[in-house]
Formats: sequence, structure tokens, C-alpha cells
Amino acid sequence: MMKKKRGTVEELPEELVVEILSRVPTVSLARFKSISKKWNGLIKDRRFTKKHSANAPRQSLVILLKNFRVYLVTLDLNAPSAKVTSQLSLKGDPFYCGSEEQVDINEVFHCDGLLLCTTTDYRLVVWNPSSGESVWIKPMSSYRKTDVYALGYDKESSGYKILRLNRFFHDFPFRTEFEVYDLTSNSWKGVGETNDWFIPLYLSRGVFLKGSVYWLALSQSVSFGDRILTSFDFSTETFRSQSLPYKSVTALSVGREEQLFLPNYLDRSDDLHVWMTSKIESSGIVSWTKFLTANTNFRASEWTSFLADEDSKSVVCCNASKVPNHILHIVGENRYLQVDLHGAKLTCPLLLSYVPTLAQIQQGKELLE
Amino acid sequence: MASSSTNKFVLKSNDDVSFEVTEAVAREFQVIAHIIDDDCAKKAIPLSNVTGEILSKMIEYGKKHIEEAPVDEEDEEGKKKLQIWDEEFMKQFNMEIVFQLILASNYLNNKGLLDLTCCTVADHIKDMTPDEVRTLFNVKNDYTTEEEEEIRKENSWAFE
Repeated sequence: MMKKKRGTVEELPEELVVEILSRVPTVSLARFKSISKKWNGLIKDRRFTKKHSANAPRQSLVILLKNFRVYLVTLDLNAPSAKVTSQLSLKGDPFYCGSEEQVDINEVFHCDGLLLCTTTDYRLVVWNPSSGESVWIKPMSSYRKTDVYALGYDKESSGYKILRLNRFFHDFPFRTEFEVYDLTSNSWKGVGETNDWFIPLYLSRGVFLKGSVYWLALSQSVSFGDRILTSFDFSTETFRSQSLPYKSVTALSVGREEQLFLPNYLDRSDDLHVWMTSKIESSGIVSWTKFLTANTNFRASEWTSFLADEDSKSVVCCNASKVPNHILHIVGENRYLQVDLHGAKLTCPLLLSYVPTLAQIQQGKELLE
Repeated sequence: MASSSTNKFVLKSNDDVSFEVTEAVAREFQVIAHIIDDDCAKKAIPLSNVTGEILSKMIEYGKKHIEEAPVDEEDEEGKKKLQIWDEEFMKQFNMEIVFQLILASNYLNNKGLLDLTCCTVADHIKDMTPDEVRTLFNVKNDYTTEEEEEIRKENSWAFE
């Protein structure tokens, strides 16, 4: 064996260092970039990031969008406690403003560790906060304030795609056109339109789960005005709608273990009921089971963003009421707690579960190069 | 013809320690399996890159994984039992030994042990500071002070 210095361990060849580092969680690797230039280059290498995606343990963090910035939040639901720990900063488009200034983020959509953000000046960017990579997306014609977006991963083509819902309010029932942007070919295309259902602004925050994005939508066909579950499959590029077990559902969230969660209030009591998917069939059909019932004065509304945690059997909510607040509500079966985030007022708070990754945004790019 | 559980081979370390193992255990190491298949294993098999200390541990691992192998893919209980044994097995080693096990399991090509040992190091370093990792891996910091500060700033969120 190689001769070794006293006090240090055997020096490993690079291929074995790669084997070890590919099993280190993403957040630690972001720190380890400052170890040396060589390690930094290695951690950023495309072959390494692929290996890392396959080998590394999945980390689950929580991010919060408030006052146009994205923050990491440390949540301990067993204590329970919550604290905003650090900010993730998105740099501006170098071709657009040529500045290193931070961008004001309007909305954030999460898919497998990548964030799709709309900015306050109506631009669109896909961002990996862990690696610092960002790709600015040029519109087909122009972006509109009323656009609804989602980001998804298509397993068939092994690449990310963006879905744009272009909503028209002139005619009734309202019409929605769909466009898909393929991040491998860098191009937009139209994929259809509908007036069977409609996604109003207050339900426009969809969630990505197992190849599809899900929204609560308003039916404009059979049972007019009813809330339904609408999903878009990023591989087949088709929509599917299904009815929900309860009409008065308010929001949709995705859990750590790849389940959808749905809160609602039955009758007029203050009991908050949260439903969880018991099964999602490959066809996209969803069945539900009760996750939690909690008696609380806390009233979730349409704009409430919430996270469900399977382990502690609780939900964390963040209200966007007209009254500025900066309170997180932690709701469990026999407990209710408010945590003050001590921030400036939350203009448009959004809580998301975030799985940090080093994955490159344009996965298939080396094939085209 | 002798079966792989009765057929024996002798593995010899670079410091002349010999271990008699069954063919099944010997075959846990891809490189040795090839030597057996090529019929080059008449006498003791010399392993020039592995010390006796390390080889004995690798054989212990190989034996356990033959004896307690899960019945099939669905045998969750069997897998769990072996996983708990793996964790306990690794606890006895310091990092110096673990690094030697990584080199040896790579050399003898045992994917299970390579994965286990690499995971052990990954878990050990995940909460370390860059400086601590530099020392452990004997990495030279080739950043200038300004460059290092810049890259730390970019990733400051990961330091909190």
C-alpha cells in the first residue's frame, strides 16, 4: 500500500474521493467548494453531479418566499420551533441588466431542487440555489402578469420542462392556453387550450409530484364552480381533471414522502381537516385518506401556504391575510402554536419544501453540444 | 465436483498472513472470482495491495454477507438485519482504517463494502468545516484569500 504520513489518513485517488463525495449531502458540498479549486471543479462537474443525484441521501429543507426574497427556514416540529436561518440570493440576468444585483422574486415553484421563479418585472428564470446556476427563459411572445407557471421533470426525455398557462378573461367561460418550454431544446410550443376549467389567481400555486403538476381548479363544465383537481403530465403533455371528495378545500401541498395534502373545513366548525393521498395511480387518479383533524382557532384561507409533516403529524401554515403578519402556525392533533418569524411584514409569503440538489438545469445539454 | 461451500482457497496478504476461506466467500471479491475462473488459483492467492489486518476484516464482512444474505429482493427483514450488522461493523474502525478499507475494497472489487465504507466517510465529514476536511483528506488549499472569501460568500447559506 501507499506510504502514509503520520497523523493523516491514506491519500485516496480521485476516483475514490468522487465515490465518497457523491454520498455527501448537497448542503455540505456547497460548503466544501471552498476546500480547494480542484474540489470546487470536481463538485461542479456534470459527471459528478449525475453520480451525486444517484448516490447522495435526500435532504429535505424548508424555504420561505417573503418580501421578494427566498430564505431557508429551520423547522423543528417536535420542539416545535421555527427560525429563518439564511437567504438564498438570485443574481440578475447578466444579458438583461448586466448587473450583479439581486432580483425581486414574485412567485416560486419547486420541482426536484430546482426553483422556477417569476420576477416582479415579469421575467422567468430556472434557478438552482444550491449550485448557484440559473437559466433565464425567453418568452415565446411576451409574458403577462396573469400567467401561471409550473416546472416539471419529464422522465421520458430526461429533462426539465416549463408549463405556462396563458389565461384569457374576455370570453366566458374563461379560456386557458397551454405552452410548454423544453429546457433541453430551449424552445416553446403550444400544447392546447381548454375552457372546461379555470385556475384563478388565488389557486395558482401548483405542486409537482411524480411527473405531474397538480392544481386546484374551478370547473366550468358539468358542476360549474366546483373545485376540482387538475393535473398536467409532463411526459405525455396532457391534462387530466378529477373531482375531489370535499368541495370546500382551500389549498394543495406536497409532503416529503411524495404525497399530496389537502386541507378543508367540514360544516361550520373550526375543525381543520387535512387529507392525504392514499394512492396515486399511474393514470393520475388520486384517492384520499384522513391525515389530521385539529381543533383550532386558526383559519386557513385560499392564500394560506402550508406544509405537512408526516413524522410529527402536523402542518405548518403561513397566512397571507390583508393584515401584515409574520407568523407561522404549527397545527397538530392536540397542539397549536404560533411562531413569530421576526421579519418585516410578509407581503406574499409562500412556504415550500425544498430538496437541495446539484443537478444541472439543462440535463441533456451535453448530447446537443 | 466440490461445491462452493466446501471448496477452499487461501488468500495471502502482502505481509504474509494467510486466510483459508470457502469459495463462496472468496467470490465475494470480484477480482478473486476472476482469478478462480481463470483457473489460476491452484495454490494461495497473493494479494499484494492488502495487509493482513485489512484482509481479515474484509473476509469477516464477506462471510457475514454470504451467511446472512437476504433470501430474495423482497426479504426486507433480512436486508434490515444485515444493514444493522454493517453499521455495527463499521463502528470499530477509525478513519485511517476506513480509508484503507476503501482502497482495498476498490482493489478487490467488492461493491457492497466500497459503498458501505464510502458512506461511512461521507457521514463522518458531512458536518465538518472545510478546514477539517482539508486536514483529513490532506488537501492543499490553493485559493488566494480573496478567492476563498468570494466562494464562501457565494455559499454562505450553507455555512449557517
